[in-house]
Amino acid sequence: MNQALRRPSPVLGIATRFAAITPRTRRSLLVFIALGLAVAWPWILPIPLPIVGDAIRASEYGLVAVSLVLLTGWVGQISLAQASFVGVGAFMTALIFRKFGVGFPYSLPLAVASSAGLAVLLGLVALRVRGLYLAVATLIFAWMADQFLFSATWFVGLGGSASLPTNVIGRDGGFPSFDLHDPRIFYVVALSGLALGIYCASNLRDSKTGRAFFAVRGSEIAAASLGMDVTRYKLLAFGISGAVAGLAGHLQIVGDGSAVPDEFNFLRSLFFLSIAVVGGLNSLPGVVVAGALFAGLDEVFFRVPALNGFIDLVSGVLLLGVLLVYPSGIAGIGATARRHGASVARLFLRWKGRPGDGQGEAPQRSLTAVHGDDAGALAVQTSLLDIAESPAIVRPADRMERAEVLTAEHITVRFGGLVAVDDVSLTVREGEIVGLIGPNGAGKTTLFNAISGLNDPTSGKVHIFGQDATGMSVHERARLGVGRTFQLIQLFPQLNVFDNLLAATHLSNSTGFLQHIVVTERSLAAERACREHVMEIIDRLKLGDVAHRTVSGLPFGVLRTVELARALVTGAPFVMLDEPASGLDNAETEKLAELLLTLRADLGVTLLLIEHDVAMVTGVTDYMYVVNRGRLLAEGTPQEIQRNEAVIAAYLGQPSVVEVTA
Amino acid sequence: MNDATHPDEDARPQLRRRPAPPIGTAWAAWTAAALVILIAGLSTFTLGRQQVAAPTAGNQARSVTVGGTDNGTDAGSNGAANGADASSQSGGAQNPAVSGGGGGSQAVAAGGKSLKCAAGQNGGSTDTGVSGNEIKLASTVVKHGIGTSFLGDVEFGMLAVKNQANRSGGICGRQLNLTLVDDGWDPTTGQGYLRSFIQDGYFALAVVPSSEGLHKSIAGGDIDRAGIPVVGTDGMIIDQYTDPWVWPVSTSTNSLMHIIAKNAYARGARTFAIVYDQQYRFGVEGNAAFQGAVQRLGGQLNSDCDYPIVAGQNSYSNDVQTFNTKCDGVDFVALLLEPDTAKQWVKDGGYLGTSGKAVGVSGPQTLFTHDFGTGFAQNCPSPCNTHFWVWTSFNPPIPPFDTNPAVSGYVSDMGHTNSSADYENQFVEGGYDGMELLVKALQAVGPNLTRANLKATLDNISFDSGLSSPEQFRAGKHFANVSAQAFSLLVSNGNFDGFRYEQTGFVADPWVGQDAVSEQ
Amino acid sequence: MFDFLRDAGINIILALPLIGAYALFALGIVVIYRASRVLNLAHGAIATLPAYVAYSLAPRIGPLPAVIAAVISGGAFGVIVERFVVRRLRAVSQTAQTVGTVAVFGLTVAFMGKVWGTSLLPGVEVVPHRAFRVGHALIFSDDFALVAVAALAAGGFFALFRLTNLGLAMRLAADNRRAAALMGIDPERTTSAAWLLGGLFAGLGGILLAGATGLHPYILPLQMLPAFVAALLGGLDSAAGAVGGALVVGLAVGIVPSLGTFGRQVGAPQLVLTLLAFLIMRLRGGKLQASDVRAGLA
Repeated sequence: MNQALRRPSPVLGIATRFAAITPRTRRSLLVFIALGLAVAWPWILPIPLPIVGDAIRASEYGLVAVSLVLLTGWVGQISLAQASFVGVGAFMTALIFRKFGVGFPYSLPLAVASSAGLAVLLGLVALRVRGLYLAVATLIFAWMADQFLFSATWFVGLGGSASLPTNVIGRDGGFPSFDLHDPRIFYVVALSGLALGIYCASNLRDSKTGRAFFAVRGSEIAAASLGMDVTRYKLLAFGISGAVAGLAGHLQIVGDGSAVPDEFNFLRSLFFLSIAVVGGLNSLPGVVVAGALFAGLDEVFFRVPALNGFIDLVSGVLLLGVLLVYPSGIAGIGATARRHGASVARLFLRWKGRPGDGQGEAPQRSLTAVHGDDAGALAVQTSLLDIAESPAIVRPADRMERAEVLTAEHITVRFGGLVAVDDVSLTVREGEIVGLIGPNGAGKTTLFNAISGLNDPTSGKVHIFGQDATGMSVHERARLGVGRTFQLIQLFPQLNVFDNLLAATHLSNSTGFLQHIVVTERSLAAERACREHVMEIIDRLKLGDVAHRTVSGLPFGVLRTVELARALVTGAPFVMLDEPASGLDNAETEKLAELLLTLRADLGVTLLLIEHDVAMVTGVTDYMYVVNRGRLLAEGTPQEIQRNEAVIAAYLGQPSVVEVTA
Repeated sequence: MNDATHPDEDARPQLRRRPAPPIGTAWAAWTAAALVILIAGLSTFTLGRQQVAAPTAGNQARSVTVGGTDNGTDAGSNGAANGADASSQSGGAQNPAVSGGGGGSQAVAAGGKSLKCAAGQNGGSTDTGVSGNEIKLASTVVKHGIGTSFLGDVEFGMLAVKNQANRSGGICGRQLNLTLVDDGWDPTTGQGYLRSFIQDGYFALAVVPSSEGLHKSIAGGDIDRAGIPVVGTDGMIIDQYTDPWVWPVSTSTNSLMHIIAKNAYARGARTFAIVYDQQYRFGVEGNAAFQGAVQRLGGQLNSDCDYPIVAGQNSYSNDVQTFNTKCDGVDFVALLLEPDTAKQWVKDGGYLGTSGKAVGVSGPQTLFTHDFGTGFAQNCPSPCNTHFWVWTSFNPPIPPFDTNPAVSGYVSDMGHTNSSADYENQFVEGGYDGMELLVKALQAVGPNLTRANLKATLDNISFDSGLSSPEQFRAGKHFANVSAQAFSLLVSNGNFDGFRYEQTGFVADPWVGQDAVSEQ
Repeated sequence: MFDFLRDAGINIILALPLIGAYALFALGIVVIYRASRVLNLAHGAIATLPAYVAYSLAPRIGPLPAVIAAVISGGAFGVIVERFVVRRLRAVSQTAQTVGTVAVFGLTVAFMGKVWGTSLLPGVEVVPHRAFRVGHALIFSDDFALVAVAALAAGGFFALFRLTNLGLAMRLAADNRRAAALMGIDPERTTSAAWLLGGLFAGLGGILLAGATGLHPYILPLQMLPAFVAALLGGLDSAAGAVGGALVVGLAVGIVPSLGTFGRQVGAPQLVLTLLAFLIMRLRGGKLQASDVRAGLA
């Protein structure tokens, strides 16, 4: 291809020049152009005012849908009461004006705060319940709001509706003054509200708070083990979601001039949920488009007489269709289109004789796609086989001289009449690798859970790094410096590998959600630092090739490594591993053993692991505890244990068992 | 660069990939741009309307009075009076506007050009939504969802009048173009559609039976800001009577409850009770009116017997127990409920007053339906000797009014429009009557048809369609229909035998506008 | 004192119609939840459609055959919803399943409104209509029928889940489909059976309720909201709990309004019930439990 001789066609020239701008600038440019168009089109084009009204409605719908993405999409807390929060925002706005004479936009903070507060109240209930119980709780809340809150005259006002008088910002007739009743002007306001909501949500998503949200959704247990206060984040999600919905309500009543209780009933909540689902529950752009779609449908049904009155049926069919046929919704369509568009663009450029865009298609960080698979194939399948470096088995000095990391004293765990763990004590010392073995059903996992805080022991004490941790919750123990992996992999499916690991930097990042929303310099700096730290661990464990892949679909051995890496990223000096070798073959198990020893040598971590594979455990640990039927059968160095007759009997099942306590 | 986690590390490994920038901005940008282009293209090419200027004060320059006489006289204009007589005699058929509409008098348009009430000479486009051959009217209707049962057929009443008017040549050569759109009685949708009508440049709104959206629009100030007349409404809620741009033809709930109390007192009741829907506006407003009326009459209404219930339940037995225990023996009970709730209340044994004193129980216009009559008959514990009276602001097609020429005209018009429509439904009749008011007012304005002129006409009009008591509107006084008459439900052996006129005549409300429930 | 008790007793009896309706709905919800771990928000619609079917068929084939056919259609409707909506969405998420039932609800209600209109229609009378005077109010044979059927259903479901193999299979399949499959239980069939049962009883309840209060495409399905409250109060997991919850809800709605000025406020019973429900949820829930560990990606 002789570039020098061929004169580029003007169109292509622009395209390549455009492509040559850095992606960041390109994106900013596009955003700028798009926003400008979005604001200006009612003035530039001869758009009928009703269409502008639809655009306003679309912005309001989009904003409520954004609040649902946050709560239901990201944190997984299903909300059937979103319209109630919108209503609170609307009626509070009217109430504030009635009582205090304060109008738009000064009533905004209080209106938004009240809907956020109510949402937090609902969240308090949500803390205690999970899954579908939560759905029912929100349903009950919506029912109560319908029947009680929005029927109360002290809240809604006499006459069954709330109204706001004429709203003009600025001096009437003077400059500048804005008549909010001109749809084109109010459209700018509504669009700003939507942009604000998207901006905040988008910033949150890519921050520590956002990752915590996804973590809480993915696995509350794992999230807690990373130090995340699950309670706090759930409440936060409710609060922010309620605030955004309240903002939509505030805008709605300012734009409409009035609000009636019927607009915020249970059926309306279902309508908003439909919008969010059709848009693709996880995707911000998707739900904005869905909001516009539904607002547009209203207009179409208005204009076309034949369709008039069928909107209920049609939206029902639409929702069902999306759910059954294309669950990822509009976002999924968008992702597919983008991929196809990208490949078409590549083909086009190739055909024209130009090399494809140098940036290429980076394997998609599929943060938003729920079902998307990745663009581009990955050549290397990383597994444990490639990870281990040369082992350096270090034999610790005299055990009793080392500091105690974990002390479990006389732990007993009783479930009703069943005694799962009976008076077991164990100690883990600094720098040790301690193993906990026993036949199936011996109570190992129950003991583990009691130590890490998942089960409350009926009696006994747990001390971690010298502190009494007996009453502490899982995340509080994590703060003390305990990390954990799980027998059943508890990675966060909504995040890719990199973000799973990044979530583990939670405790080392001290910025708060407000800083994330506003994107302060400090939060950016903390983010950078965390990312670098994660990159180091990725390099160490050679996970670089899978770093940007979604977690689902990766080979099992890789997943085990990722979970281990996640525990390491927390920087916890003490890590508990629950059957880390389960599911691995002999070669992988060997490499795992070597890896553990290397990690102990290089990073100085203390390890406690449950294992079934006795050979592996004896090879890697310094000290072992054996439990059988809930009781401590034996403890000692691996050599001592291997010679212990009672242990042998327990494993081989001989009738006479002599219990020995070391 | 801050490193919060590992202060003693020196070499930073090179990042293999730059962390991606805030996700979604490009995607959002593309989407936004595509959406913008799509919408812009669609609207430009398919709808292609020019932007409608918001109505300004400029259109109000002309203040032509009806018939050339000043405001405030009862007869209004000769033209209007002629029109009224003509309509009450011809049974609802509108005379061609050429002669009856008082066309000659206000024939001066802007610019001093002389106009005539005839096609081609009417001045053409005198205002928004008016052209030389067309007047654009619009309304929302209820054709799906809750509310269809008693509002669904109202559109046929409206169409009947419109078709008649158009068959007679229209109004000053302009045909009536009536756009009806179903909003399912949803307030948000309804307000949105009404705003669209306003922005699309319709001249006036007719009847608007879908009262939820209308209420929201009035409360939100849309109607007043646009200065668009809403003529012939039947929604009975107070704000329709206090808004300067709305002219209702039916009696308000407020007036109805005054009338009911007054009539009961006149028949001998001294102790009163009321059961009402506390979640609906008409319930709350009516209750306040009833309380005020009883107090002024000197009757007695215990707070225990001022009983709110929640609509739509499947059983009221507990409420009936409480109410009956406290209110047994009360002379008169008012039932301010919508039909389904009322049926259930009766069925569960709600006390219905002392029928021995021929006082008993009454309900408002909402209960004036065949459906409620049947339900009442089925559930009235037999032997059913309760005299259940229902009140209406119209002359229904029931003896002795069925021979009234206006009423029989109404019935035959309905037959021509839609033979299965329920013309006994008082809301349907109200829609017909409301449309008549609009047509008559349009005729009275004549060729120089502007919103301001229509408003001036309506604020000075006497309207006697024969379907209700004569009505009179004045500026600031839109309580034009303030009377009602009573019928009782005939029941034999659990069957509903129809309505029987109770010879009350049109009873007038002595306390018009009092006890109104208003915003703080 | 005696007066108070007597009044209370009267009020409790008078609340029976509400209790019966809510109990029948709540039972169906609980059966489906217990056996398939799906929150069936379409339950109200599944209950109402058979009532309309009975209404349409009764003039042709007589009331009793119509009712039988309609109840069967309710079961069929339940199976169809499970097969084509809930099952297909299982792979996506629980949220999607819940939203799926929401979609079915909206679609069915719109459909019923379009086909049969939105006037209140008389339901088919299953039980000869007789009125009984209790205190100053009336109560009807339909109401007793509702309560009787609810009690029977409660007993039946209790027996089903505790005593029969099918019930055991249902519970197992609900908790862990894979494990159940490994044990030879077909989780698809138990789920379908649960929805069939749920649909049958929903249909029966809807027909009885329509006979008592009339057919309406919106009012009837929305009775499911208090039924969900009832189910939740009872724990969502237990038939006895559903009945107990319905008892509480019915009593609250029936009695609170007569308890003085607070009770007369609009929505006071609903507020009381909500606070009660939330209190129960807070008390019942606890710290993160080991049982919360889900099977992840392994």
